[in-house]
Amino acid sequence: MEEDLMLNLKKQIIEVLNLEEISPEDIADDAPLFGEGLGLDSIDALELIVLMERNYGIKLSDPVQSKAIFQSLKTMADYIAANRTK
Amino acid sequence: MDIYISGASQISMQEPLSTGWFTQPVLYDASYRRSVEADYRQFIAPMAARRMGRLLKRAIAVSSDALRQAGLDMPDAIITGTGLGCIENTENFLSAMTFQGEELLQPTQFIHSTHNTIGAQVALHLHCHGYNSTFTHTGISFESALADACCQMQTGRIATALVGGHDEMTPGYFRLLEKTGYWKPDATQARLRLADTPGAMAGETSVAMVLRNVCSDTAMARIAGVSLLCKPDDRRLTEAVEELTQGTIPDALMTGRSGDCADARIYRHISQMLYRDRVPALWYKHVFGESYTASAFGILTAALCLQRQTVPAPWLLRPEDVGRLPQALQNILCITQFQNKVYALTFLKSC
Repeated sequence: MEEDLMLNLKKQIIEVLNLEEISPEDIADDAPLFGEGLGLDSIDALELIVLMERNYGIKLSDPVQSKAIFQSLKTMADYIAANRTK
Repeated sequence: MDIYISGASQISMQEPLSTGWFTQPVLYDASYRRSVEADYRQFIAPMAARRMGRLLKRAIAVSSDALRQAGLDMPDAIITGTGLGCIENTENFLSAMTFQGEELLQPTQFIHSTHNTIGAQVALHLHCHGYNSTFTHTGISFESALADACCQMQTGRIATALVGGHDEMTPGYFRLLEKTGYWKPDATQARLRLADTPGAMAGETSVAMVLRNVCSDTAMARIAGVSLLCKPDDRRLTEAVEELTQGTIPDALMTGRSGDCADARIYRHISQMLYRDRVPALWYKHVFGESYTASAFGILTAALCLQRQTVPAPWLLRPEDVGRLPQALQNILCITQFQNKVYALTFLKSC
């Protein structure tokens, strides 16, 4: 179940951020999403916030909390598993 | 002050980033052709390109290529003409608003749905912090950008400028205009030349030109002047042409004839009124199609004619005019009009 969520999340991130040359296997579960790792930026963060609300019904409003959630794919998936409404 | 076109590049339905089309254009029998895409990886890193729509990628590619041709790393100004900006992003953004109840909209689509995104993205790519302006003036958007660049140079504010004309034609926008009869259903080359029925052939424009205030080895043509007119009557148009050309009869007229019958009547009238139809008329929209900034192709083609001192057959509206062209081409007057409301005159001279 958790693996399914992780794989779906990877596919959704690739689609919404248009990461054309990256496949789900290229995204390490624990690698940082911002700065190093995938090297995402602040506009990507906005896209991920929209993705969380649209696909999982999770509304993020606390920037400090968001920073922790978006640390890696695993932290994102853990938060979604515990808080999703759809 | 003398202003020179020192480098230019294009992406269109012709071979991209090339001038092969000048002597051997591909002539389509079609109402609608999208541009042939270039290999953008040589200009933009994949991570930077992933957020860009095709119009932004084209703009960056032609801008980089024109700067390379001109031997210039950084322009003093980036000035852009566009009729609709990144309309594909605008359509996506508006569709999302409609279908998702104005909530959860993607920020990238919104950011790119403004007209000045093109000039801004080119500036970000080049790290250019100079003057940056965008003109959205229907069919004379490119000439408006060109006129601004000339003004900035004449007042000594800048010495170089990157001037662009960029428009895309999405299937959705094509269909909307199709309903108004804007496009010719049977847009063959013969019908476009004949121009006896309404409608044109749809195309897309991505053109970049580098302007300099000095004549370098790469200079293609000199811009002797640009004039913009709103609803001119015959007398005002004649005066503006005489003022621009200083009474010189140009070697050729580069017209914006699109193949539409009403449009053709206007250009026939202009040619008759100004020069009793004795100056050879050239055209380019049968090669590049119609779009708000298509006139950039006319100026580019005219500049190439002056640089290479030849007018290849495809650009002559009447093939028999070839014998009326002088041996040494000295100047070409480019005339653009949009719905007989706004006019742009660009007078080019050989270097």
